[in-house]
Amino acid sequence: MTHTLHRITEIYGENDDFVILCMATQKFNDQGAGEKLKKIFKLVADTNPDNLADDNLGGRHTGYTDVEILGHMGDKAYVGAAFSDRSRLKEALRKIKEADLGMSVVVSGNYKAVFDILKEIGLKPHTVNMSLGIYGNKALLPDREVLAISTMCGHGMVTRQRIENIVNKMKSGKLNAEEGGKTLASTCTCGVFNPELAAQILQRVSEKEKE
Amino acid sequence: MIIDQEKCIGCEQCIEYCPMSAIRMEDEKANINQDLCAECGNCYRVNVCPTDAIFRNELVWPRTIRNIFSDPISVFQETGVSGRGTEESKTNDVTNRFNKGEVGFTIDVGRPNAGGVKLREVEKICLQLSSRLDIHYDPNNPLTYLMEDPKRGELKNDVLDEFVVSAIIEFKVPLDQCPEVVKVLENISHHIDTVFSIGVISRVDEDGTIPAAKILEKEGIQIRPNGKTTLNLGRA
Repeated sequence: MTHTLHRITEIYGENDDFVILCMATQKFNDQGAGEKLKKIFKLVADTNPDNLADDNLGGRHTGYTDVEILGHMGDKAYVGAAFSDRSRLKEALRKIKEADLGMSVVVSGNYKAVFDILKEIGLKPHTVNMSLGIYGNKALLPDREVLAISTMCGHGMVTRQRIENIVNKMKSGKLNAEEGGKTLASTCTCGVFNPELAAQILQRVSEKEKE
Repeated sequence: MIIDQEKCIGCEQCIEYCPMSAIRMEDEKANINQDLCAECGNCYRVNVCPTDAIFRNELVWPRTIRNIFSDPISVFQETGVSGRGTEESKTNDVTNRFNKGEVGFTIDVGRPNAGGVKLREVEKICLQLSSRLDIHYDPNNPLTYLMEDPKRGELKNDVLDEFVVSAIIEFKVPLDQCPEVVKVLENISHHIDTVFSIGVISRVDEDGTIPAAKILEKEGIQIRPNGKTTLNLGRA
């Protein structure tokens, strides 16, 4: 999940694209962490995130119910959630802060916006991992629109072929953007792929290709 | 990963799920090119095969490396962390791995979506970094376990041809060396046949300023607006 900082969903201008990651620290506070992470999972679930998962199993869009995910969560659980608006993100962070469970919480996204949100709810940033972007043989990369969607799954499990296939299905009327976004989210096990944002990009791409 | 040729009905549904483009049609059956397969398990996990023809075969060293680096659910036993990297800055509020005056680097080689990378390409970056700077690779990163000589950034010979979705190089340096690391990486970026994404880890000062950002901006190095912020909520 290191890759969440390299998302490029802002290709069509400013938008809200945030990810929350919550975890215990191995050998520091992982004993009994499972129950705390389950509480966090439930708190985040109440804020209606666009995606939600435990990285060790999968999530709402990979075919699991919240009950199944909670049943699987242990001390090594890794809660991941995606948000396409900051008000829900803020609500989730406020709930986690109030619960005060001692687990580490990371917010990925525009870090200046994140700093502002933290200030509003009385939290402080401790450390930041900033993106300097992509280097090397960029000719190997897919188109920017495809990349904007595929990078939402940092592990690379949303392939360019699938995205192109979804766009083709949309163009022929077999699928709408919302269905396309959700279909693509089905291979992202850690819950950070945002089907709402993917749908927005897919819509633009299919309209552009129709012209 | 293997496709049982007896069971495969040639429907081609699995092909688009492979991030390495390793699944190809041969004699009207889908087949996985074993050189290209990174053992990520995506084709198997999505349960797309109508005849359950896709299965995981038992892996032996050094092929096991492919699975550790490429399957998001695979856990590296030595650290207990899933995925190809470590907890890096995500738990820095508890570990203080990155202190004030230090800068961490996470270099994701092969990401995003370059269609996989051989560890030989990853080694090129490590060798170059180590020849120019005193780099201490993170001892908990799976890649560091594969190093024959971490001082030189040299990987073991028998792993160099292993193909993975991506690998992460992790290390930290004193704050003032931060621009030099970026310059070395910029230089090598013209000599490798893959892509890599650079992450720079810095503590945040009480007033919200980021020391590493100040230094990088002063050197004219552009920082993207995106970042991964660890809050001050974890405790041991």
